This record gives sequence, structure tokens and C-alpha cells, in this order.
Amino acid sequence: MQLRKLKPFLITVFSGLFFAGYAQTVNQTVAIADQFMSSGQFAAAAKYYQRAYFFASKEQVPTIRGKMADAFFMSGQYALAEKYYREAETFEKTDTVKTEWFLKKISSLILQKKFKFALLSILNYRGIFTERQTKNRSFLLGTIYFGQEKFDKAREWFARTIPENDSVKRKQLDELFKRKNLMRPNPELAYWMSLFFPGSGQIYAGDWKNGFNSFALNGLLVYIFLVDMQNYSFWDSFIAIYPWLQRYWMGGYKRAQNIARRKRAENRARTFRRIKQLIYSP
Amino acid sequence: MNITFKIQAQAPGNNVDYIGQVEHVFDLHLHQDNWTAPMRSARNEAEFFFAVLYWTYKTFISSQDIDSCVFYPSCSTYMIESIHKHGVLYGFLDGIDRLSRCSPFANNHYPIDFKHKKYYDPVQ
Repeated sequence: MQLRKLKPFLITVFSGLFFAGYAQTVNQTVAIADQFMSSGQFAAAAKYYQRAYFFASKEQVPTIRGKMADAFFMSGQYALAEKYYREAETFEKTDTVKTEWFLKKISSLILQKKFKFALLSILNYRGIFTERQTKNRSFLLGTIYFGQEKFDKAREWFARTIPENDSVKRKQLDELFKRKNLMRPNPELAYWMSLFFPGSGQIYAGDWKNGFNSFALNGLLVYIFLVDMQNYSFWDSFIAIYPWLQRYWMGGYKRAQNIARRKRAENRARTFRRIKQLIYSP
Repeated sequence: MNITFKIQAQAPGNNVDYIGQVEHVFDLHLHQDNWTAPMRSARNEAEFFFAVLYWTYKTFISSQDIDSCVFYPSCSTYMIESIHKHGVLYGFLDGIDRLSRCSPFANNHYPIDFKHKKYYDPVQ
């Protein structure tokens, strides 16, 4: 009843809104996306750029596409970033800008860990590079080889980013490529150590707590095994305890290998960050 | 023949630092299980007791074990979740039931969780 009384009023208000309302323009949408981008909300920015890209005119497309690719890149959506960087690179007329899109595309590939594809693309590219872009290209090539565990080649390419006369930086780079930073702890060694002496592989890999835990658990099971053997018989003890012992022994050496793999990956990641800081530090 | 190149200082994008992003390509993003959570969410002493047992098992025994449970979530996690959801008695029995079902012959009865590569059997 009350609603019926309000009907003329509501119709007047809403029809007024209908005629007064207008859609957001492409430029306004891009402006909102730019704001999101500058405030670090990259995923939200990517959505707005996508909307603008859909409705954009032919002239607006190149700019929006580049911005959208950047938003995808910064929000961690590297596959989409790669797609739009590739489009941007294809349609770009200016040579060095084309190279810039290309390098961003390579970065997207690297961040997706598609090292082979990235290597193939970067070695086949015949574009024009500025001095800064040449340095970035060498760094990205070094990164690809680093990801492929070809450390000699990686060092070679990283060294190209450092001026010939900067002997201090070159020496620091050689220090970073020492075996202890890249190859240790050795997962195979950790595996065999724990296989022969439970817990030793974990301790070697740097996980003391896990190592002592493994040693204590397996030691306890061996002790129970021996006590059972004395009280009953070898076969009684074997049937009762051996399945447990085997399970935790196996778990121990497999875990030692995994711990060593993780620690080595952490060491490599740390070394790589230091290399980047060394190359790009003033 | 003269070849001319077009050179522009800045790409028409948002000037992102792509080298800065690549710096973190080898960083590890490890998922850390929170085994103390059931202790914090325990509603009574009995639940807390089982939560302590769960933590002890996960920290000192399960951490040394081979990956033998065929289900996701694992049997111990299933039991502690069931205890939290249905109470100590029903949850404990439900957990024992789950343990009895945990074997390589459990196929064809459960959907597969492809992320964990295990049979998916959450607390109902």
C-alpha cells in the first residue's frame, strides 16, 4: 500500500537517473586503472585495463595494451603478461620500444620458468638495443643459464654486464659463483649419509632438529629391536619392529635429500639476488 | 642502401621494473603447515589433549615418516578436524574409521585431489 503511494515519486527519480546517467569513458577507466597501478593494486588495475582495452578505439589500443601487460606482469599473471607483451612487440613500429617489449616478454617467460623457450627467443631476436637494454639482455641471458644450472655460461653473461675496468665487481662476481654458494648442500650426499647413519644427512644439510629427531627415533626402534630379540627371538623382533624401522629409516634419508635440495635452492636464490644487486648497484 | 632505426627512450607502458621482478625468480614459496592451530582453537580440555597429541605426532613422528597416507587431508589431520567439528567421542571414532579405510585399495571410492596427488576425503 505504502509502495503504491511512493510509485510516482520512484518513477520520477529513477527515470531522471536513467536520462542523466552515462557510461564511463575509456579514458576515465584508464585513469582509474592508472590510479590502482600507482597505488600498487596491480590485479585491480589489470581488470580495469582489460575493460578499457575491450572498448578502446584503434588509436587507444597500443597504449592500453602495454599498460595492461604491465599490470598483469606486476600482479604475477605472467602467462597473460607474456601474451600481451608479445602482441605489443609485434605491432610496435619503434625499434627500441619493440626491444623493450621483447625484454619484458623474456622476463615473463623467465618468471614462468620457461627457460628453454626464453633462451630460444632471446638468441633469435635481431632487434636494436640501447646500452641499457644490452645490459638487461645479458643479465636475462645469464638468468636463463642460471635457471638451467649452466653456471659457467651464466657467469660469462653476467660478467658482460660489468665494465671491463671494474675489477672489484668482477672479483665479487667470481666469489659469488664459488661452489659453496651454488652446489651445496649436495642432496645425493645427504641421501647416502642418512642411509648409512640416520640423521647425519639432515645435520649435513643444516637441519639439526630434524637430524637429531631422526637419529633418536631410529635409535629407539633399533633399541626395541635388540631388546625384543633378546627376550623373544630374532624373527619375532624382525616381524614386530622391522616394518616400523624400515619406514622411518626410509623416511629419514628421503627427507634428508629433500632438505638438502631445498637448502641448495635457497642458497642459489640468495646468490642470484646478490648477483643482481651487484650488477645493478651504482 | 641506408637503413634507419626509430629510437624512443621510453616504452608507452607503466615503466615497470622488470629486472627487479626477475630478481625473485628463484625464491622459494614454501607452504608451512600450522600444527599448533588445533591447540589454539580447542574448546575444552579433551580437545586440547588431542591437539597436543596431534602436534607431538606431526612434529616428532610424522615428520620422519615416508609419505604413506593415501588421503588428503591426512588421517591425523582428518581426526583432529573431526574432533573439532563433531566432538571428542564421535571425532575419535571417525578418525579410527578413516585409518581403517587408508590403504592403497581405497581407489574407485574417492575423487582425486590432483594438487596433492591423493584421494580427497574431507571431514563430512
